[in-house]
Amino acid sequence: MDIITLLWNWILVNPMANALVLLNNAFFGSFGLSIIIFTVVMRGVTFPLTLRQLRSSRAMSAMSGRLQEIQKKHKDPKRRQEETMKIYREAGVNPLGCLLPMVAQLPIWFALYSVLRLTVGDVPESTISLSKHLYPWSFIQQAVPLSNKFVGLNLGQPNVILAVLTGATMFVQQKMTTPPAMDERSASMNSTMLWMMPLMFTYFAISFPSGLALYWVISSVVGIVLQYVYVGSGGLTWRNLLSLQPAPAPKPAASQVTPAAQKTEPDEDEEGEEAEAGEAVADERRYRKRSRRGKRRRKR
Amino acid sequence: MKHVASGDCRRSKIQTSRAAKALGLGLFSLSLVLLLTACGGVTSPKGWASPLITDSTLLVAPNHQSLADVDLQANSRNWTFPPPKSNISLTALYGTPAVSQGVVLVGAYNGTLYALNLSDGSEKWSARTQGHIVGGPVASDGTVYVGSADRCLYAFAVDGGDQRFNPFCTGEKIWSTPAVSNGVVYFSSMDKKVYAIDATTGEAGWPQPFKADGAIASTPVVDSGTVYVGGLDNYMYALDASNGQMRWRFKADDWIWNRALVSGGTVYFGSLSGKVYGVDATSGELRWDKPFSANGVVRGGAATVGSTLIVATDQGNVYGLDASTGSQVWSSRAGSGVLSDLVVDGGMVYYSTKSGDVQKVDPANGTITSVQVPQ
Repeated sequence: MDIITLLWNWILVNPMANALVLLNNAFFGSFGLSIIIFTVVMRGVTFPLTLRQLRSSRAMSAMSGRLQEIQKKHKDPKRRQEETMKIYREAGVNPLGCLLPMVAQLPIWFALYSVLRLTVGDVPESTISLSKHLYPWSFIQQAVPLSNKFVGLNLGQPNVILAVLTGATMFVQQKMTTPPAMDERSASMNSTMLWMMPLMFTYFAISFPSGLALYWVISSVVGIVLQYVYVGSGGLTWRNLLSLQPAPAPKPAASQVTPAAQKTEPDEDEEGEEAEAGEAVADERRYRKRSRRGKRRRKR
Repeated sequence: MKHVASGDCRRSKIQTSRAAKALGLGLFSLSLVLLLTACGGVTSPKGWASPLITDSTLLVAPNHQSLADVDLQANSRNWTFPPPKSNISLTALYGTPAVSQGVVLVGAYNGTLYALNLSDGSEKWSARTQGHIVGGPVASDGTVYVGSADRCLYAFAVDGGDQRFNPFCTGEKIWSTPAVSNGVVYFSSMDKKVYAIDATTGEAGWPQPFKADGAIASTPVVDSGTVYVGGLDNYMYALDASNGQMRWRFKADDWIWNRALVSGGTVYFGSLSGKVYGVDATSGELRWDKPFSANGVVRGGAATVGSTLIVATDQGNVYGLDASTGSQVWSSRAGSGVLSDLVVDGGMVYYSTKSGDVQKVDPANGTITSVQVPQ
C-alpha cells in the first residue's frame, strides 16, 4: 500500500500540486484562476480521446437519417437494434466511446481532490502534509499559504451554487451528446442516464471542496464548446433544453436516405417464426454484401 | 433447422454493449465515491495542544476537543470544559493553554478565546475572533495576547476580558503563539513577517516588521535580546529584539514549524523532514557534526533535561539525544504520533499524542508511561 501511495503521489499528486502552485504564482496568486487554467490544459491533454468521441458523435449525427429510416421501417425492436448495430459497425462507431474520455479523467479527479485538500484545506495538518508534496524550489515553497478565496468562494469548502452549476453544465453536455433512441427501452435508458449523471455529480460537488466542482464546471463548458464546434448542437434548442428526454435527432438531409435499404428489406410484420430464421441467414448475406460495398466506397 | 445463430449473436452483442455501459457507469460511481471519501489528505482539524502542568494539576486536552483539569495526586478529574451536555464545540485545540491569576486561558479552533476559572472550569468570559485560533494564548502583567486566522493579534484583560487595544492586523493568518519579553509582544504571521508591538499600547515596536522569505507559523522565542524564529522557507532566523534586524539565519533542509529551544548557548529545533539541529545561538553555525535524522515530522518543540535533548515525531518516535553532539542516546515508541510541544516537569517530559493521550518519558532511559486521565 505504501508503494502504491508513493507512486500515486509521485506520478499524479505531486506534479499536479506543484503545477497548480506554479499557475497560482503566475496568475496573480489566484488559486481559482489556476484551477481554471489547469482544467483547460487537462482537456487539451485528453483531447485525443475526446476527439475520438467527438468523431463518433459526428458520425452518429450523420447517420441520423438512416437511423430514422430504420425506426420507420422496422417495427420489431430486435430487428431495429440489429440494423442499428450494423450501421454503427459500418461507420466505425463505438457505442462505448463516450466512456473513454470520462475514464481517462478519473485519476485526474482523484488527484485533484487530494491536492485541494492539501493546498486550500486551510487546516494546520494539511499544511504540514503539503510540505511533503511540494518540490524544493523556492518559488514554489514561497507561495504558501495559498489563498482559498475566489470570487466569494472558499475553494476548500463545498459550495451549493457551484454544485448546481456542475449538474447543469453536465446536463447540457449530456443532452448534446446522447444519441436519439431507437426504441422505448433505449429511450428509457438514455433518459435515465441524462438526469442520473448530473444529479450524481451535483451530489458529489456538494460533498467535496468547491475547487473540484470548479474543475467539473469548466471541464463541462469546454466539452460543450468542443461538441458544438465539431458536431453541432445535436438538435438541442432552448425549447427542449429543460426536457428530461434526449434532444431529438436533427432532420436528415435528403442524401442520408438510402433507397436501397427500403427495396431489399422484407416487411417483417408478415414473417412467421420459420421465416424469421431464414431471414436471419438472408440478413447475414445482405450484411456481408453491404459491408463489401461500403469498403469499396471508402476506397474510392 | 433454425439459422438464427448470427441474429442471436448480434442481439447478444447489443445487450452486452448496454450491459457494459451500465457496468462501467456503476463501477465508475462506486470507485468515485470510495476513493474520494477514503483517500486524500486531511481536511478536518484535529488539534495538537500540549499539556500544561501547574502546581499539582495537569491541564490536558483529551482528543484535543475539550480541556480537562486533572489532580495528579488524587488522580481525579476536577473539571472538563466544555461541560457535558453543553452546546459549546471547541472543534479542536492546537495551542497550549495559559494560566494567569487563577484563570485558565485557552484558544479554540472555533475562533473563541475562553477564560475559565481554574478552580472549577466555569467560564469567566470569552471573546470571539473572526477566524480560527491555532496558536496558544500568552499572558503577561494581567493581559492575555492571542493571534487568530483572521490575521489579527488581540489583547484582553485577564480579569474581565476587556480589550486592551485595537487588534493589530497583519497580511495573513496568525498561527503562532505570541511571546512577551520586556513589555514587547513578538509574534509571527503567515504573511512572512515577524512583528514586535508594545504590550500596553499595541503600537509597532520596530521601525518595520522583519520580512522572511516564506510564511512563518512558528512561535518566536526571546532569549538574551535575540528573537529566534523558524519559517516555512527552511530558515531559522535570529533577530535583534530591539529593532528586528537579522543577526544571522541558518538554512535547514525543510520547513521549520516548531518552537526553538534555547539552552546553554545553543538553539535546538527540528524540521518537517525530521532533521534536528543544534545551532550556536550567537553565530548561527551548526554545533553538531551533522543534524540528527529522526523518522517523521518534528513539529513540537523539543525539551532538555540535563544533557539530554528530547524530540518527538508525528510517527510516534521519541528520541533522547546528546545535546552537545546530537547523537542518539535512546529511542522509544509513543504508539501514536506526536505533534505537540514537549513539556518538562519534575524531571519528566510530557506530551500529547495525536490521539489525545498524555504520556511522559523518562529522559534517562526513554521509558514511556501513559498518564491516565480519569473520566
